[in-house]
Amino acid sequence: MAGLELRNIRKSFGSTDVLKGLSLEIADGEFLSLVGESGCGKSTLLRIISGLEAPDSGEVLIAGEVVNTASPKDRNISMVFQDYALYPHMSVAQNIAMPLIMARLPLHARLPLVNLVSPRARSIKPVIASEVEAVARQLRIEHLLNRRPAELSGGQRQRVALGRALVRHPKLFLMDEPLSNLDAKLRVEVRKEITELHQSTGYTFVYVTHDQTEAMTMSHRVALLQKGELLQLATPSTLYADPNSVSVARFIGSPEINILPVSVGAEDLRVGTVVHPGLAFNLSSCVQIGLRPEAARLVGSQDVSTDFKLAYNRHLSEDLGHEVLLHGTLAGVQDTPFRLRVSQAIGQRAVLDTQEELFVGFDCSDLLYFDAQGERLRDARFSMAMREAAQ
Amino acid sequence: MAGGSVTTGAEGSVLLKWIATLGLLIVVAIPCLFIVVQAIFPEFGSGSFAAPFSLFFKTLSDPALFGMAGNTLLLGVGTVICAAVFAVPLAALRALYRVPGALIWDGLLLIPFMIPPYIAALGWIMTLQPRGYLEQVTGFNMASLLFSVSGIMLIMGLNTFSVVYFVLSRTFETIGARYSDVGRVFGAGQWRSFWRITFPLAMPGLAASLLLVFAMSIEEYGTPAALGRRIGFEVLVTGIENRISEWPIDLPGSATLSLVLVGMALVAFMVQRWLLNRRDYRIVGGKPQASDKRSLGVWAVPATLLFAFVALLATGLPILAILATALSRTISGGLKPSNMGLDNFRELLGAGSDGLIALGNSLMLGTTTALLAGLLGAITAYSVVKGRGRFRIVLDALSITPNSLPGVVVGVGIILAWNQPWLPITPYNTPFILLLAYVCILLPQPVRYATASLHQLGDNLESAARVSGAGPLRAFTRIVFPLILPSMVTAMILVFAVASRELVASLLVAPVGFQTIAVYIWQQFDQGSAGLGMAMAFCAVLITTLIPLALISLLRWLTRGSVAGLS
Repeated sequence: MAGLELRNIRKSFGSTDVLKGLSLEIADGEFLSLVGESGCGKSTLLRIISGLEAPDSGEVLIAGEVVNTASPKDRNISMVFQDYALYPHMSVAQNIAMPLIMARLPLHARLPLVNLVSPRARSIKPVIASEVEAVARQLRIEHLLNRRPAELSGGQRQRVALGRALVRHPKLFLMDEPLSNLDAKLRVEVRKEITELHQSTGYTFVYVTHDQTEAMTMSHRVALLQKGELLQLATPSTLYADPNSVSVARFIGSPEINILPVSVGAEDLRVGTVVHPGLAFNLSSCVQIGLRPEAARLVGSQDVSTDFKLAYNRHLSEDLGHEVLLHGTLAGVQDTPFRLRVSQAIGQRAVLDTQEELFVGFDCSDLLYFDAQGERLRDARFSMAMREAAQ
Repeated sequence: MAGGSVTTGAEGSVLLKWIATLGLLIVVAIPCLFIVVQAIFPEFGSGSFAAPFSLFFKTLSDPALFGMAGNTLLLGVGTVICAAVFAVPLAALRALYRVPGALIWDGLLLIPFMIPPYIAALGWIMTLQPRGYLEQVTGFNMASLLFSVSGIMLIMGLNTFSVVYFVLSRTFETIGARYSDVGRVFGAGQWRSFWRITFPLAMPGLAASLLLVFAMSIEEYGTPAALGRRIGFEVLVTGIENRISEWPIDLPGSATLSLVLVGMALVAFMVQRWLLNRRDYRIVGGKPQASDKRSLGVWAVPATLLFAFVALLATGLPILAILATALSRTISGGLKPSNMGLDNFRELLGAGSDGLIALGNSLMLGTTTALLAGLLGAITAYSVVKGRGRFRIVLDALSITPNSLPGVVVGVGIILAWNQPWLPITPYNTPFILLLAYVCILLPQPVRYATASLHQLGDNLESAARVSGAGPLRAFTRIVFPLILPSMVTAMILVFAVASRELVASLLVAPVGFQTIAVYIWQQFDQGSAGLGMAMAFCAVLITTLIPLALISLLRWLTRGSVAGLS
């Protein structure tokens, strides 16, 4: 059974269409990331799933049930907000206990003074307290329970927000850019913790982020959104190696993929100054190719082992230690930047350090082919997936 | 499935929305509606819609109306000029130079906020009238100035100028520090850069605060009633009051005059809002500004004397006159030690006295008004901030309408609405009618405080509660309300202070024999027991100032600075 299913969700604010008929399905226990640039509709989608916004049309199903008319409190979901939204007037313990108090204590037992004598409140309160403590222990914040949010560091607030979301044992765990307010080092740490949390709880996670690294490292599958439409929903490695369009290829991967204009003849393919002949090439509508910065490599001036070899005009190199990132252009395509990752490991560095003139080599099978609209063209012989399968 | 009608509560609690709507309808819309209906249908009081507009145009073309409307405008403009003359030089001095004792002058100039204008006006009468305190002490007789149109303007200017002074001195200071340095670097002197840069940039703030003074003065009842009536200077407010409380009672006439007055106040209010919503240069950043105030040099003494003189006029004289009258055994006995004593206070506060009952009534009404207006204001502001579409516009408009409703108009509206003979039950002639009037007049205060405070709350706090399992109502009561409570308390204290001594609506709608502080003071003064009235005035100023101050300090101490907004 699907943990969450969205059917043809549409939403507009005024004349702006934020979501244009979006459908997707998330398996029970899956970790799915919604990725896209700001304004692509990912946060709106999350608010629709949580019930904080109503879709203009379409259906939201949680655990197989249509929940369009259910208010957020009846959906049994949890959410971690970008700014954490911890209640500033309550202690950490009260913040975490809040969802349980809401769910389990009837109105009269929550009233001031009355709650002191209500038998229901008296019997439930210790249970709630012990559950809060258990969650706090799990997140290693049990020493902070009596503090106010204002007295916590960013990472601690993050954990409290996680705790408040966890304590409810939700069917669906929603996160809206929860790491964006943390510094880089802490982000890596919490990223790992969230992944572990997912593994230990087995809840269905929907994670919104604009940071592709978070999406790629944490999720089972990634849904890439652009202007309210779903571009591609796939595993991180498929998105990277086998994107459906130029947009997906450009969004995923850092440094960005190289997109080069090409011309296609009856039996040949021209990139810059070089024509590769003898192809029974049937992708006649191909006008551009994509090449990942690490898919090409530096070759010697006499090397003829690759399908293409082009002179490389280096503008700038960034030495990151384990690799060098080159910025420049290829001979014959001066208008288009070409980025190259030169890895320390496979001896490429030596070429870079010794050669005066640089040459870049790559094979037809390294390339991704796109038509004028940016749609991917797949020729089984050159597909990376095929090559991977063969290996 | 179409989702248009789905309610997920994203627009806030439906229940609260209906409470806000119902509350605003009862408190604001009904009185307004009845004024309009009564103005159009003169026979409405006897249940007939006959002869619509027959009296409306007659009243509008009545020369008496033109006279009153002209007087109202004259009074408004004159008060604005007086207030500007007092405020602008003081504000400029305060902002540009190191004035000796600046904080003391600021404190003294705050006091006019705490003295209701009618009490100050009575103080002035005691001082300047023939054989008044001024003549007794100095021999000058300035009664001709007191009982003249320019005298009324002067007194109302003194009562209102501190509004302008405080807005303007802050504006001058922030703008001055930011921009006039630039001017001076490029070669302008201090005064020149003030006139060329600071003053033009402060114009919107100055104009807005002067419009506020204009609105306050055309809505004011006490001063024109106490002074203007004696010289036949009738303004719209006193004309309306006259038509509804003196025989022959003219309901359609008072309704029509009310509409004219509300029209004037509305224009002033709209222009003021427009001015403030345009680009406002008074943006207060967190950045500390270098104070480059200059020394006054030889001008220190004259400047200090100017501050002292204005502070004496605005604060000292009225209060001293009130105190002197309250302490005098008889008014005719004059300022002699033998004539001084606590007799008036003893009579006022004696067990079971009328004064004590009036005090109790007012404090009770003030407290209830504060609680009701605070609650309705918070709910209304929440519904407006969360609301969408047409509903929001209607609620917003209703909640700010009382800003341009003078107390006298609210009184007329309430009489017209709740005194209808066909009503099976009515709060009329019970203390509850005063509650309705006070809540209507003072509702904009809590709404304004709550709106500001709601805008500071992150939207996600409520969302978080909702996702955690709270319904919209519970999210409001558990999360939103506790967080805006501190600023609501401040607003409610303000409401208490004003409501407990409100004059004109109380005079109009108070049940027969029911006395409040203001009604008591007014009647004692009318009956010639000025001493007793002034003793009550002194107690009222003291109580309505001290109780709020004590409450705020108590709250500050209780929260120990952990809650922002208690100022």
